[in-house]
Amino acid sequence: MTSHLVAAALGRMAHEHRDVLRECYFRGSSVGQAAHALGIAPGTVKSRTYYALRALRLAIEELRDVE
Amino acid sequence: MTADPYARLDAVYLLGALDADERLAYEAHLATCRGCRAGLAEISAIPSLLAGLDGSVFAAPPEAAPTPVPDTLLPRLLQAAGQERARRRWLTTGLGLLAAACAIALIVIVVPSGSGPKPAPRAMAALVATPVDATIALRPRSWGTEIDLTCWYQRGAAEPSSDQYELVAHGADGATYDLGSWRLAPGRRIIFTSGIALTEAQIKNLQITQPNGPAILGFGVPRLSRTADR
Repeated sequence: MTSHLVAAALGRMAHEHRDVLRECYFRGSSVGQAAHALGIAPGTVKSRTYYALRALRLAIEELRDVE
Repeated sequence: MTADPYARLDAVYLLGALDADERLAYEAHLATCRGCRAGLAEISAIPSLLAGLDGSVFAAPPEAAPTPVPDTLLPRLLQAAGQERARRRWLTTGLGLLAAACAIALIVIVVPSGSGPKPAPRAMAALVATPVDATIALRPRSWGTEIDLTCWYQRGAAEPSSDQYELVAHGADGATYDLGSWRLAPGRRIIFTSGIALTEAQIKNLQITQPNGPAILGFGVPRLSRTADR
């Protein structure tokens, strides 16, 4: 799995999804910290991250099929 | 499934964003919920794919990119620190989990906790027809083995005549060790930690019994090839 493919998949995602991944993964924030940083409810952080990882998985699979 | 309050937690759990209380509750739930284990397995490979990425890919796509921050020392330091933090956290909490979740015999999910590797709870096997379920997790200690037990009545199960249970261990040396007893009530889950002055390799099995009754649940400690001494 090449990282450019993952980066491309991230680029296709809705910015709401990318935002929660940036907070919870790249910045190492907790759910509470991410909620504060993004101005959304903690429950929204959880559900958006849930959908974000699934959207990312789908996007990676689609791009991989193309390659 | 939609009523499961844990069903949307797999992603934040996997990324290490849950606080300790919620993480522990989620892990206890995982041990008993096939749907949540399957959900976690679906996405378990994703964090490793993110691991090598530069932080810029999490920013807005190029056409909507904000004005670039001048590449002064401070932003670079902050970015480097953020990357290092994320990388370190992933290495300590992520890789162990990922490997286990990928292996997904779906039973074993290893999540390191703050105080060292957290053992995966494993289901005890029913030895007779019983309304009782339990999971057990073993953690090697300098003094022996720590034993985390979670025990509950299956939903809707008829309550047996006695509500008292005991945990006993049988050593490879033939000795029997009483590790504790408790009362069980429908809809309530008991969680307790016990210990034994034996290494895991010296434990032949663990059993839940009723007082003066037969063993109802058993757990045979797997005989993994392991280094002779620790």
